[in-house]
Amino acid sequence: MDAFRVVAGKLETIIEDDEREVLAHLASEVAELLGIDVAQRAGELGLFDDASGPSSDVEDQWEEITRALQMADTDGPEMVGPPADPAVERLLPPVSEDPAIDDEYRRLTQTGLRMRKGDRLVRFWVYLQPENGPLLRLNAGQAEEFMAAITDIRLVVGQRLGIETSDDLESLRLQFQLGEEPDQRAGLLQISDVLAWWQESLISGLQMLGDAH
Amino acid sequence: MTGISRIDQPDVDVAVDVAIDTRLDRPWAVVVWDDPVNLMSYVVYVFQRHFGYSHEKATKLMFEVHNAGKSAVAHGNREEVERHAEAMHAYGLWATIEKTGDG
Repeated sequence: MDAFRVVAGKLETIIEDDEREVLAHLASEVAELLGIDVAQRAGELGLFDDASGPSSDVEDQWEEITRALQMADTDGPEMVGPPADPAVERLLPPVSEDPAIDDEYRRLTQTGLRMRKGDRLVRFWVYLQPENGPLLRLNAGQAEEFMAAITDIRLVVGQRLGIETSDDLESLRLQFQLGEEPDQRAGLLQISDVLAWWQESLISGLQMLGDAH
Repeated sequence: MTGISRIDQPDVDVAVDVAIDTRLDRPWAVVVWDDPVNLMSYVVYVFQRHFGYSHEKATKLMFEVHNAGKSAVAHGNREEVERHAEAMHAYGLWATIEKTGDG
């Protein structure tokens, strides 16, 4: 995976097939937490032909990630009120400690936010389909969506890793370095770190694009 | 009974007035909270992009969030701060709304 570079007013990077698959899979898992089936939704949005969709062996290949991200009590697509899954609550956080204020806010905004985040992940997933080739080229608007989709993925991964504070993150990093706790979470943390680095390159690229105008 | 309800009546009116006042006029703040996931540069980007703040102001607010754990990044009536909070949530930042002052 390369950092994004500014090329002729767009942001470009090269991304290899295995990296595409991991990222696309992560996006589909996070969308699923929001009650959205990426392939189906991409079809509805006219972005993807569902019939030629990804084969299920892709799913199997990343089973460990799936296991690490999924939870038994997922929130259905009809979710109203505070989400049951704490990772979904990170995507749709409370607006107030006052339940009356929060309930009203959720009634007004939750479906819209959920769909907006879901559709963003769907487009992210579409960009990463293998038929699009290794070159990824985004305009400023697409790059911003991409960046926000990466944020949502990292919020979910962070919650699943039990990261509540910066100290948690540091101690987890240390544990993995010392090899005290060898488990699938080390891989997830690595993915999250790579995504952070990638996102950083998008941000500086976007700033360069902004400065150019 | 009649006497009591006459005494009660003004209280009800006052309560309604306060509710309307709170909803429309009293200042509210949108508060962004520190989290262990979002990048400093991303938070600065979002503050600039959404609120139209200068890089300097956005950076100052980001450090307030990072160092103090939270920062009131914008003020307005309840509807306005709810819209801002919704935008922050869309970007993946943790934001709440708070009534500032008495009320």
